[in-house]
Amino acid sequence: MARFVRSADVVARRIAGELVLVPIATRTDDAERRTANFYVLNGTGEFLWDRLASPADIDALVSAVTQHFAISAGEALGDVERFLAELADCGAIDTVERT
Amino acid sequence: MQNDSTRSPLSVAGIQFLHEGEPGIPLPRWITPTWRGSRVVDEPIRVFHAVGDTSTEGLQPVISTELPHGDYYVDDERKMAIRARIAGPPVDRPQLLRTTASGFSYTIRYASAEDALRGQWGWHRTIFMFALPMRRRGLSVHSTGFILPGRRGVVCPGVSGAGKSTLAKLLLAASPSELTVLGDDRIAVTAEPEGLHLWGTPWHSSAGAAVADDAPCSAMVFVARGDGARITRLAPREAMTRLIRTVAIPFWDPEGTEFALSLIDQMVTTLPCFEFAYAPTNGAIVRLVDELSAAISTRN
Repeated sequence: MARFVRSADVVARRIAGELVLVPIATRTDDAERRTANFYVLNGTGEFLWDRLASPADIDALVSAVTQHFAISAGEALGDVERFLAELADCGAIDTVERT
Repeated sequence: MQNDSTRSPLSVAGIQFLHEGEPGIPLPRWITPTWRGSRVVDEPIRVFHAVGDTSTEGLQPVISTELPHGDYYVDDERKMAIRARIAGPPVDRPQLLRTTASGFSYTIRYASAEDALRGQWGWHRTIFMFALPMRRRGLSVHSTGFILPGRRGVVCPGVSGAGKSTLAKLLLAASPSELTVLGDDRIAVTAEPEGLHLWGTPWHSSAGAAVADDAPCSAMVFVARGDGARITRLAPREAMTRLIRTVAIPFWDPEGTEFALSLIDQMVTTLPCFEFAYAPTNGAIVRLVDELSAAISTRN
């Protein structure tokens, strides 16, 4: 199972109390990728971003969200998958294959 | 704040553009005809003009944008380069901007010497808006800006179509006493030891506002369409999500981006931020000026 980790090509900074991510441009293989993009993380997003400081797979992230926010595994899976897809799309996280 | 002895028609927000070039290359002498230049308080931006190779071989592509910005690249030291194709007639010609020292020194290469004065309005703007954060001095904000009586600067950021020029035109038409409209498209905000500072720039939009004046920045206002004239206070978080869309962030450079975000944080957490929802009438503008003046006075 693939694991995910924060990319080195992203600046994360707290602005007005909110954690904001700005991906740093490194390539243009996706024409829709606009590097002036920014992401303001909600509570779940900040929680997941903390855990992505080191590689984590979806099962571990879902389990952590389920326990911390007291929601069902199904809800947590949807939240985690959406979050990872958005961050992967803008280059804010990298995929690490398990060896 | 003014010191005409140091003004130059090629100075913006305290920074003078100094141009040099190969023999036979004409050099820019002004940016906007009516722009008389800001007072000079900072190190210059040096631009060298040369005829030569405009190819991007050896550069890494970063992003493509519409003219006048062009296609962005970074070199192997992650310094920014931009290749723009300046529209004809007689033919479209490529030009290549390379960074020599980020924030301070650049080279523009042309296919031929007669191309050298083409595209300079856009080149000056692009160089300036990224030089500000790259030298850790300030930000270029897509914004209208004006100075209230008492030398209190107001920045009004907005994306294209938000109503920046409409606001500027109404401010110019209403012309309350001692009010100066600095610009209707690009405003510079700098971090000075005494606080945030607002500067007009030569890069105007349809209102044609480009005044070389500056003042301490006292408030931030986001305009919106409405029925009457309603001004409401915005929380810093809401102001941040609106402001960040309007700021030129050097997105290829982590340290420059970090600086830009820190200044955005300073702006939304230290300035009183408002939304002004209005129908475009002179009465609405008078109300904006009166209410802003009162709100800032109360705060001070």
